[in-house]
Amino acid sequence: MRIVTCVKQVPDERNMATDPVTGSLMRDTAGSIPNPDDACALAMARATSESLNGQVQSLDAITMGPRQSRSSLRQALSYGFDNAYQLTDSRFAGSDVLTTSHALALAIEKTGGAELVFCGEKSADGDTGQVPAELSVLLGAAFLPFVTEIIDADRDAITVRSKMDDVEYVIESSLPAVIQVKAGAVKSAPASFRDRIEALKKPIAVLSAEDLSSEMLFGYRHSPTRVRKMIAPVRTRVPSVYSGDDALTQFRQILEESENTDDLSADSPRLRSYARQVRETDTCCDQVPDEPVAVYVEAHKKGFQNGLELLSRLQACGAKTIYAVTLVPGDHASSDESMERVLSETVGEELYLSLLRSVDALTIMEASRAAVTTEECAYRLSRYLEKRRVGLCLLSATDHGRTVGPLVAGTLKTGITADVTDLRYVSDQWEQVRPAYGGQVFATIVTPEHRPVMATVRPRIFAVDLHDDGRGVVAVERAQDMENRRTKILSMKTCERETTIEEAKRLLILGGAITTEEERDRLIAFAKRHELEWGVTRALVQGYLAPHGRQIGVSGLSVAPNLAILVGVSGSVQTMSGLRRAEKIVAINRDEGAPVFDNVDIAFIGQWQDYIESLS
Amino acid sequence: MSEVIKALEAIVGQEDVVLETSVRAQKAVDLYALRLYQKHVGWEATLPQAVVRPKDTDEVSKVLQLCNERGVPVIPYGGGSGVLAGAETRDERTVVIDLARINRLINVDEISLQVTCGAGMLIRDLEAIVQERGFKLGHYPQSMDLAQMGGLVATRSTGQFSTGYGAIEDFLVGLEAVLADGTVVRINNVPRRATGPDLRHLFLGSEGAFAVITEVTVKMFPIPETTWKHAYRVKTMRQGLEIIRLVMKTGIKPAVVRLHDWLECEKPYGAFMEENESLLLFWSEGRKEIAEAEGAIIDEIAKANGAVSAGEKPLDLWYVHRNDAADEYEKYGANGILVDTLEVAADWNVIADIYEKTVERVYYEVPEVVFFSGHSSHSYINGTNIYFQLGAFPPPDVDEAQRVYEAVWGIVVEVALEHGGSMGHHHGVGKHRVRWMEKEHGSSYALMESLKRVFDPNGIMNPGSLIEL
Ligand SMILES: Cc1cc2nc3c(=O)[nH]c(=O)nc-3n(C[C@H](O)[C@H](O)[C@H](O)COP(=O)(O)OP(=O)(O)OC[C@H]3O[C@@H](n4cnc5c(N)ncnc54)[C@H](O)[C@@H]3O)c2cc1C
Repeated sequence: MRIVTCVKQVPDERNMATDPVTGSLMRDTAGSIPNPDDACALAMARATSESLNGQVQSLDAITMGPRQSRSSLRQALSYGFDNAYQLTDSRFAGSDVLTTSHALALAIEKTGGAELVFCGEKSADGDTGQVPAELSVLLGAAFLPFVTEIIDADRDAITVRSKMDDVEYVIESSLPAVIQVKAGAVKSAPASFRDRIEALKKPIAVLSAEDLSSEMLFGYRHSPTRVRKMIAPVRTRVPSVYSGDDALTQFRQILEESENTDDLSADSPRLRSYARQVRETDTCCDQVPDEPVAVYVEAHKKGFQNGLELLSRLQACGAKTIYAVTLVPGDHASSDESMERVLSETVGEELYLSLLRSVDALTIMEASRAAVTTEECAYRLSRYLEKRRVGLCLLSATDHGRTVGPLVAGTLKTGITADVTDLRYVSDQWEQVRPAYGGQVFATIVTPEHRPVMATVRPRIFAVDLHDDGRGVVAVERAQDMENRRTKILSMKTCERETTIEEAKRLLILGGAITTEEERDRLIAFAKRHELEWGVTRALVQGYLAPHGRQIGVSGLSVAPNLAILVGVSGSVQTMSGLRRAEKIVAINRDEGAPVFDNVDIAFIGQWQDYIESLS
Repeated sequence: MSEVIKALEAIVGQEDVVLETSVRAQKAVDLYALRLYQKHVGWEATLPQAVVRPKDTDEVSKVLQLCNERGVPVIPYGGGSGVLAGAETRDERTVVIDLARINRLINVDEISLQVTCGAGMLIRDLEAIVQERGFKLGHYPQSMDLAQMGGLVATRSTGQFSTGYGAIEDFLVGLEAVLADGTVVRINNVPRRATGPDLRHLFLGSEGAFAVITEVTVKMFPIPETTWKHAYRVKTMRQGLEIIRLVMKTGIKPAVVRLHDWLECEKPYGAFMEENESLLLFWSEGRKEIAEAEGAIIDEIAKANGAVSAGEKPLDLWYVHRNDAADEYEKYGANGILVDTLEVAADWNVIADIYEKTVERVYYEVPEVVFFSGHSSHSYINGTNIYFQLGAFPPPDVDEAQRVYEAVWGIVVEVALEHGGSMGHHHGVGKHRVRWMEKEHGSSYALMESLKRVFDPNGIMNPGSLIEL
């Protein structure tokens, strides 16, 4: 058996984001580091190889990238990997998902094939997580997304635990298989200094484009997607300032409002606001061509809600023929009508009807089993899109959509854009806007020559605003036999989401003005009463008033709440840089000139005690 | 309440004798790397009985007099950024003297280019004051945001621009200090004197074990007109060290001269280099003609000795990120990483051997180490320093951490001393390095002990620092 792990180098974000002199991104000089998610893939690959007890002949790592970037391969070698391959050639430059996957697939085959291929969840720079799925298609291998654990593996089969959209699956699969390791799934002990030094001495085999194929379908020229432009949005905060009684009322209002917003999405508010900003500079859509467009809708309530957002956008763009397609679990409906009824009951009649009214046709496909695999979804959706000659297909950027999308794109050999935050039709192309480099820039992507154009779209970006102008024809497609079924779901269960400080939507942050345990406890009690998570600045950690795990800032956590309330925070760069992604920042400080006020949306001048008391 | 506390309150006022646990805990430790790790696995600090905050020299004098009479141990506490436990409390009778309030700007002399301030002034604040008037201190330790002027003098510190501007002993012009019995002594500001041994040196590096420094006067410099900066790739550290030696031999003094090994470069500068190379960073500043002339000399020597240009950008990156470590420093321990820096110095003859041998021994002998790199950052005509950086994952246990820590330190100190180098280039001695002081100083060590007896006959001044108990 051979196990291969695909790894990547990414720009060092620390260098990228923080040039305070010019304020600009320093991507060119950023230096590169091994993609953090790949360390999990390496660790899981190594553990799997060990558990296969002598049956693995070689445990190898492959990367594609410029010649200097080798630290990810060195990392693999320091973990005891046998061979390291680097694909490096100017002709690989500018590769998108499809051409990258193509090169990696060829390289894996050329160097001896593999029964198991491990990949990280996603790369920190591209942030798409689509290569693993497309790679599996090109290798003709099974795909196991978001794997948290290898339960069992032998020569012919593997059983894994996988967690997608808060559902945990146990999946059995034949080999060969590509395993996308969920970020953080395994913690690996870092290599010892000795192993690192030894790794530096091991050889790295270099493969050029010619070594892989004479066709040379690599790089930007052969990539279905193109970058049309890049925009860096600016986010400056100009505070509204309040003091006196007025301020207390205002404070109460803000807190109450935030308690009442029920945010369904786990998505970053910053992205939504950036996306909005980019959209404001939007030009109108041009005339959309006649070809049909389709939305793949997941067959549950949230799936339909997300679907309505995508349909609204397509209507707003002036798409002429709009389809929706969904796949429902098999075996529970005897007639076409009852299938439709079960679906309508599952998602709720109101949602079902609004969707139906806004499309020209809804196709309900029946899966062959009650537990629907992403493999089957991709198979059915690919055939559907081909048959109906769909020009554009949108999916929600859920774990499910992000898996099915690239599997389909790989099958149809077309381009796909991940995590789209805006869509419009301009100068003969569907323009797909997506964040890149952790949301620091927005790239406009087009897919000029390949069809369908495919994209996964972030939930909660587009508002639902539908006209009932569809014909609402329902078509039912019964279960079909699937050639070559590779994966099977053995069990599934829904798991609880636990929120951490980093995920908290509402945060109270205590700053250096809080110097006693009593003051601290008073604020914590306040936070509890109002269901706020709480964090602190460095000063409190240093003063032993809070554990490091609650520290916000450069040397602590970076957070993205909808609302952050800063109490007695002076506003050092160290603290504020941990809050860059917050949607609304409110600060209470008695010092009018405190630097914190340069960086917030709402400034309350006064004693924090007054504000807290006004609410109790 | 104890009698000592009452007496202290009578001197500085009740408000400034702080008994609150959180404050005593904060002032019980500094940034000693071992503790930054151990405190997350069960180590607990010994708290001083009180933290006093005198507002002037007179109060310091009275506090010392009191403690000296009663045999109460005293620790002067500056910015708390020391990394060798110099300000760490180990005796619960200790009274910590917090110098933060003695931070007045006393005089800026724009003719003679010197500035005088209270010892508790943060160097960051003093730099801002002189910058406003068109000057700079030229002394830039990485702990710029944390350290006080008095603390820097007390530890014989040096800064990132030291190759050009010199170290603290080159800046310090005069001072005021209070001896154990409360006597106040002053050393006047003069350009130089040949009137016996230089008494400033009794205070430079005295680490609170001889006296409390209350006022300092240091030099300042005009803000430079221009900077010349350039980075070069070299195959090995040995080659890089030789190039620095040749540059220093010409007599020029570029403000910054650095040489980083591959492990250290990989992340920040990997994009500019080939694998396994080392990187030289040069920075000259001052009058345009001079900076450029220095640049030309450096360029010529570097290229003639096999270095390859890597442009200016690595220096921009270095400049932007040069103090990031200070922000991150406390974070590692919480994540289970033991991080420390160990700086040694030696002559050109042996420095490359010291670097190579140390790295090799750490690599063979301490399996818990996951990172160990080195750079040269302060050069002289006769030698340079190596600043090693350590990252290790000891088992999460107080004693285990200590074992790993001592193993690495043992190697670093041993290699430096067996080659005739010094075990400490600029962090001082603290309570950590004392055990090797006799080896370091050899036959002259007796003088160190004599000095301690003369300055501190009752043994109250920061016991256990500088000289082993
Ligand atoms: C991230 C980081 C980077 C660093 N970088 C550098 C660097 O580049 N160069 C460098 O030289 N050092 C560096 N250091 C070490 C440290 O900053 C210095 O040792 C500094 O001189 C200590 O100053 P302080 O005011 O913080 O002193 P403290 O830590 O408070 O005290 C240090 C010692 O001096 C004594 N002391 C303090 N003030 C007085 C006084 N007024 N009178 C008498 N004794 C006193 C204390 O009792 C103690 O023994 C670094 C430390 C850190 C954490």
